[in-house]
Amino acid sequence: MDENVRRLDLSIVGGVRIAMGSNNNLFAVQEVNPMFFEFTLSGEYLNKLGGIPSFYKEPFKFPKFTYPKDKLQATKLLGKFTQLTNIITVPSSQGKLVMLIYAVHAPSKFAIDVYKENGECLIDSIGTDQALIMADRLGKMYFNKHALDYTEIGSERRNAPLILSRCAVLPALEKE
Amino acid sequence: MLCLFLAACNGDHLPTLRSFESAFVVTDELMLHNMKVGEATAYTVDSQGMIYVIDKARKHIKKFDHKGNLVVTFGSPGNGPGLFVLPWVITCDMNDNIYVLDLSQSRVNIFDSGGGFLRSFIFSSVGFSGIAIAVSDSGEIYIGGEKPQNDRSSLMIHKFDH
Repeated sequence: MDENVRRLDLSIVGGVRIAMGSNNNLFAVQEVNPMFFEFTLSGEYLNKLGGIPSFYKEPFKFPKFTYPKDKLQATKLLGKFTQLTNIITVPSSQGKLVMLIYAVHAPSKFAIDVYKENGECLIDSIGTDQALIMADRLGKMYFNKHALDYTEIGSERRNAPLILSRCAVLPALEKE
Repeated sequence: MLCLFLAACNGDHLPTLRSFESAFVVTDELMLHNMKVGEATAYTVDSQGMIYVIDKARKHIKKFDHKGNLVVTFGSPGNGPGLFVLPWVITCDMNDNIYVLDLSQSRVNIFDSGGGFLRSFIFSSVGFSGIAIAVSDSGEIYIGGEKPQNDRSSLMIHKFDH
């Protein structure tokens, strides 16, 4: 295979997630940046899209990298900043919808913002304890109903059966 | 654009979030046969609604039908083509081929929808650590990750022509 390396114009340490758009474009997000970036398939930077959500809390350096054992205290600590955990594109009647999934920890585990591919926000700040994990080509979305957060990785909850919720975007929203 | 209604609601400034039902409607639920929440690391779904899950403990891929029944298991622990040390993310292409990025091997293993191994490649030749993968409709493979440079990390996307 021929490798064609393209460097994003990003330099902050943190994970990156990517998703395909509908019109030969590629979207990328960083965990520590609330916005999303659009590239051509050849790697050319096009746009910085989205905005800073009202619930967004800037990253900060923990005094020490250990979580409190108490789940309530750990959740409180993690809730002091927002982490953009994933970007998922969902086929719709008008191209694709771009879902940005943030870990907010409280009052729910996640918040989801829904954008059009041009960066127009359709609806923001949707709270849920379910994790949006993927979408199929018909636009159906799959949520992990009992998603674990960082405070639950070693808990008994990891032995719960894996249940997925299949969901659709409300038709009224898709027509916005 | 719909208006915001976030507000600080107590001393910890918890945001007020919209309800799930304000944007989404649940059509059904499925339980993946014999699969536990803590065993799965990543998921993808193909054009037939078949669901593929990385089982991180057993280092293989489980394929489920749209009702959650186990159809087939493929891949196995080990180092090399078609094998997994640390399978991390998974996606599929227009032809329902399955791409699994192995974080430890810096390798992408590619299988057909029945679990037959097709090919693999290693992407770490430039010290790049990949953690995300996507495949375009025309078959180009994109890997997102980082490359340490002078005490900083540069996020990169690699493109692999099919």
